[in-house]
Amino acid sequence: MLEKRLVSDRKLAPLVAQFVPLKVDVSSADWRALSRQYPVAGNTIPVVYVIRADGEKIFGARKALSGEELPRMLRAARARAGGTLNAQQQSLVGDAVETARVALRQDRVADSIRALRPLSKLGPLGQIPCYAKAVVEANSLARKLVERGKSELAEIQDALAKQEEVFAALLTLVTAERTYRPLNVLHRELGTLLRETSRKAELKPLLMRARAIDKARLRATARGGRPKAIRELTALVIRYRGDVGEAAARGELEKLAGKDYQVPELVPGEARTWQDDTGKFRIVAKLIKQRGSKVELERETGERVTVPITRLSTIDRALLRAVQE
Amino acid sequence: MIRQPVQTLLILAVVAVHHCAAVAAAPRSLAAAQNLAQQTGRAILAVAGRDT
Repeated sequence: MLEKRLVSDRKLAPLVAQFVPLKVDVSSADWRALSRQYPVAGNTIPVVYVIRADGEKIFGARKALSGEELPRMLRAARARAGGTLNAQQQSLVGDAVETARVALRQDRVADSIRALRPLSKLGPLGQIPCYAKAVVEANSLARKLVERGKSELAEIQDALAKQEEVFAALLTLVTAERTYRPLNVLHRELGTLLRETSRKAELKPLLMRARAIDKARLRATARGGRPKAIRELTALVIRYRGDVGEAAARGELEKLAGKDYQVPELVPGEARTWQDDTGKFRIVAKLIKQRGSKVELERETGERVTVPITRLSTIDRALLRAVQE
Repeated sequence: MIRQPVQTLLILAVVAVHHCAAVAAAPRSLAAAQNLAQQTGRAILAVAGRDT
């Protein structure tokens, strides 16, 4: 009677379709397994169960659920069962979890978070209201990442209190604030610390340097962004020469360009190659003078040319600025 | 224009196909139901009784 109603009642069909229907014979092994795992007192049949996708029992009763009782129970169970995934979402979550898991195992936190990010359209990462296995795994991974971020935040706070570690802490803070952005709660905490820090006048210049280095770091992770990141970091080494930003920028530069990479220098009176960022415009010349937005150069032939500074590469502009200062 | 009897027949065929698909999609064992539930996030609605 109940089974027939579930199959043939047109009004119930949309509600029933949101469950995985299962008919179990009480003489089968499935029934033995089911009744052992989810015991329901009594010995009458039928026995109705609603088991959530993660195995949690939502409903279990030995009754036929007549009249309105059945749709009422189904609606209540549906509300507690969490969201469901269509085929496209299943594949999205499956791929994201696999990529995020591998990245986290290899300690690539940013890649792991990036992999989970598309899932935020299903709900807040770590709290997606769905009990599909892949989503449960995604939530668990996101929570692990939040834990990691929290311990990173605690380390940053400790380091900010030590004079000699302030710049490294700021750089970590800026990167963490960007990296953990999809993890809402953690991102808010990092954002608050970053705002508090940026209000302190003595930290403002350091924060500016940390942001510039982090921007280049991010650029390096983009496809084809490495050469531009190297140019940006080279310019930062030149710009921050002699201060705490130089060492940090140089460290990043070494990671990207290798230890043998030479940061160009501008020696007064010596010819060097000037170029634009694309490398298409090149000229071997020595610097004569800077005038407003233009620079006067002298080729080896003695011919003098005036070039708009904006046309020169990031590195050349940094060299000119360093000479001016 | 499709004639009335042909139209009725088509509707019946579509309904039958949908019904068969629904029956075919219903898992026949607890393990299959659990597998489908884990994939889709849908809860299992199990009715235990005697096969008639």
